[in-house]
Amino acid sequence: MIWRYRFSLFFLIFFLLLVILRLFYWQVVKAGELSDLGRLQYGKYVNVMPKRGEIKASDGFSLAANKINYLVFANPKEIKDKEKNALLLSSFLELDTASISAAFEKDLFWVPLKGEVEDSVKSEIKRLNLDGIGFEQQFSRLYPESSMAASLLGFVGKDENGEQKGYYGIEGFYNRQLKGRSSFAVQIHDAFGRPVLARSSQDTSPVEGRDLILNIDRSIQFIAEKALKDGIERYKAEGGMVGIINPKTGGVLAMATFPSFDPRDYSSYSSNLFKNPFISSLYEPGSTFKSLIMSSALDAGVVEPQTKCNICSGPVSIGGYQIKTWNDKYSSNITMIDVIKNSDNTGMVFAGKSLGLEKLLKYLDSFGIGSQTGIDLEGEIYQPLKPIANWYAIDLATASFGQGISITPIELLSAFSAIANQGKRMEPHVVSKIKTSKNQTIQIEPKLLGKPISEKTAKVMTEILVNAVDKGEAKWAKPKGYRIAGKTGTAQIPIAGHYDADKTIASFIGFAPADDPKFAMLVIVDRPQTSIYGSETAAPIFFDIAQKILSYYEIPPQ
Amino acid sequence: MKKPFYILSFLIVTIVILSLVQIALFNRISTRGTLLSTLQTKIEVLEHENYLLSEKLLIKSSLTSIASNAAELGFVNSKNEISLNSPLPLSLRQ
Repeated sequence: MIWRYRFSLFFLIFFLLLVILRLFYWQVVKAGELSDLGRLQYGKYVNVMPKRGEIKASDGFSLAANKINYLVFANPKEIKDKEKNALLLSSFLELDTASISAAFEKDLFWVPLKGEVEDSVKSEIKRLNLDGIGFEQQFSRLYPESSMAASLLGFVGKDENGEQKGYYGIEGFYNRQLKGRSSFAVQIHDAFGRPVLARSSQDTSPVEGRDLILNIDRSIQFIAEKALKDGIERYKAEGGMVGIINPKTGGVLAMATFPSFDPRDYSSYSSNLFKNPFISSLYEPGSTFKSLIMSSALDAGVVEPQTKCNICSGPVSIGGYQIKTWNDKYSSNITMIDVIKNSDNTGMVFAGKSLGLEKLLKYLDSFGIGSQTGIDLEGEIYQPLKPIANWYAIDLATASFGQGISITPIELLSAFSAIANQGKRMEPHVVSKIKTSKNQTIQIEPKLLGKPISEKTAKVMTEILVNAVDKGEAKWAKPKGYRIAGKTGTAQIPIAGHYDADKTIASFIGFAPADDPKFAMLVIVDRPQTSIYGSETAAPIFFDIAQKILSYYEIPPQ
Repeated sequence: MKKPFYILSFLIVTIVILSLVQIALFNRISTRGTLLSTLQTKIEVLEHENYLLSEKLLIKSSLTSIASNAAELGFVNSKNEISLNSPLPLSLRQ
């Protein structure tokens, strides 16, 4: 008896242990897998997109915010009167009835009809109580200031997975910060696999995108855009651009380009307009470049402001080419102060030759010419300077007055700002702060890139530039009572190996107030027709904007 | 013989008590759940309204909109600005 009893007990315990082991296997080892299998029976994972971070001006006003809209979708298997529903929806969704009917005929449980549907339209459709029609909440970009700073902001499109992605400008450069992290939710469906028009649960909560607070001053941006647009119309130009930065910090206060595009409807514009020409187009800067060469010559000590040019009595011949002044008027023994005031090309050849090729290239390099400025915008380009061995005497001569050398407008503005900032060159920066979803603020500190010239040279050059504004060709446009340092530029455009005399890029670069600069600005007018000169086109736009900014900053005339 | 009886009685009492606690908790949680759901719906509605109002506010307070409204109302840019950057003469102050 005892033997049989023991055998039975052992047998039972053994089987019990087997059951426990099997249960442990399913309940513990395979628990996750089974749980997923179970979920798949009643639902499927759907991606929940986070809210994209906003882009705000320095005053906290959103230049690119988010707005709620909806994706309208249909479950054709639930629609009873397809013809009637298609007819009703076509008027609300502004789609033709045939395409909606075609969507209803599909043998699917979920068919998207139209995305980015306004809340008001969604409410009206919902009121109709149509069977088999559902809505999915989405976020899209809202631009309260319409197309203001469009080329600076970029736009939001879709990537290959249909998710939001920033392109160009700030949206492109800071896409990773702005987009946040998506999460997953389970979309429940019934026993027949039909989706129930509700979402069950979210496994992880999405991390919302970070907000960007810019250095851009909305008022200055508005002033610049309006003045540029008016100027381009007035001077019948093909386009133009304005960049304004704070020379002390490198913070970009405004950047406007024309023509531009509407980021709300970017697909209907030519893709050529998406690029921000201020950072993505090369041009020959012309006479605005003279301020950099003269600063270098003064800093190197090869010329003084009162040094007289001994080759300026007529055109200068170099390597078979003749270099003339813009008005074909020549002054012998002209000083360096007057070389800048009169924008004398022969005087600049003298300064360039005095500096010598090696030093010129060294100074250009320290001014950041031939390299990227590091501005936080997508699409910045640059053209490296030629190796020293490839420079000829004529190249040195023409580079001295800004021809035969290609740079981007931001390169010039960044380099020129060093004169306004005691010789220190700052990295141009558009974003000043990043605000995380947990309300933490990351401050982006100004970055010093180098000191191409001494403080003393910067002061001397400032006085030369103030003199150029007060007594130069553009003096008529200057607002009274302010000390403004600046330089005009009229660069011929190289077309098919030669320069077209009638097509120019007119520009003006300067900063104000000269003694304590609050801003440095570059205005470029592309192919103006009323006059080819920078002093008659770009300069008035510059002074118009400068006057308004000075009033805005509450700086009274002296 | 008494020991197993006590253990059995203890187990039964424990099961009964735990069952009652579970029923009470479920009852309480189920009521709170409805309240929570109502509050969540309310939050969603308010957030939605807040969003729509923010959109309207942003558009109405944009410089583009203000400038266009000002132009429609006949406002023009000031051509001559006067800066009072030094104290006025005594005669003018009186």
